Amino acid sequence: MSEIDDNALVDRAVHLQDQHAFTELVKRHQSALRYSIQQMCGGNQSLADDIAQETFIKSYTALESFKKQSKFSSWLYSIALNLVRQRHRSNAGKPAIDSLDDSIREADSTESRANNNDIEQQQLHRELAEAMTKLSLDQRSALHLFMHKQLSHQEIAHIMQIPLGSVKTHINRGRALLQQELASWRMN
Amino acid sequence: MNTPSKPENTLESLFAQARDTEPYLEAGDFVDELMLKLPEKRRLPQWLGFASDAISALLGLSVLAYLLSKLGTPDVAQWLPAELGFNLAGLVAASCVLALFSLIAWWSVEDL
Repeated sequence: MSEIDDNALVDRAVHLQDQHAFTELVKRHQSALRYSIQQMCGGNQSLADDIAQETFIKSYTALESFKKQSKFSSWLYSIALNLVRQRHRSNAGKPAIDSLDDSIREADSTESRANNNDIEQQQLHRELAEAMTKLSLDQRSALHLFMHKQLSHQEIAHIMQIPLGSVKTHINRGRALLQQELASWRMN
Repeated sequence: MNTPSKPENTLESLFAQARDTEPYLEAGDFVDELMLKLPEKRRLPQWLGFASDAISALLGLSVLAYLLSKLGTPDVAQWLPAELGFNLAGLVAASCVLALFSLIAWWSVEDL
């Protein structure tokens, strides 16, 4: 089913009630989505997986409302980002959403089994996520979508449902803050 | 940390490196768990909802038409009490009450 494009799979899932088509969509997008949510949630993998599951469930129940004016992946990111914002608001004052404890513990337990190259890579992703926690959620999301996913400002504005100017501001401020954060790490 | 030495390219290089080494997260357990959590039956597409409403209405009206053709049109007026008179205000009031009951019935079943 890998040669069929996302929109055709959505059509099959909506009009033919074909659950295999939806499963294929999940398989295609789950890894990138989980990784992105993880970066937005400060590296917390279990929280990211939880939000990713909720994202796919919401997308499943609202699949007929997907208008195909954007990419299916952008639509998923838009749902995911709303859920991350909701969690962020409900956890305001609690450290849970930005906590790296879970992922660090999880990574540490697996590091002993991984080779050096893997360890370095895991460390890179973990430390980047950690540095990103110094930014606001909007800065973090905008910066991740721009720098990592290489989406255009317009696409990011559509996903984040904010004006284009705000996207540019979030990216510029996020970039400056992250640069400062990394500079202080290098000094240490 | 794996940061490149040129400060002006630090962020770009860092993100490029992260992009190139982005881990593939295995679908297995994640997808299995998700499939168990999906609602049993997705809501019908809107067009299918309209179509089923139209077919039901058509069937209902056909049955009614058949019954009326077999039994003849009933004289409704003979079932009403003799003292009940018809006037415009009464008809409007009755229509309003019926409309209100219909709306209440609709709202109560809308989310089922």
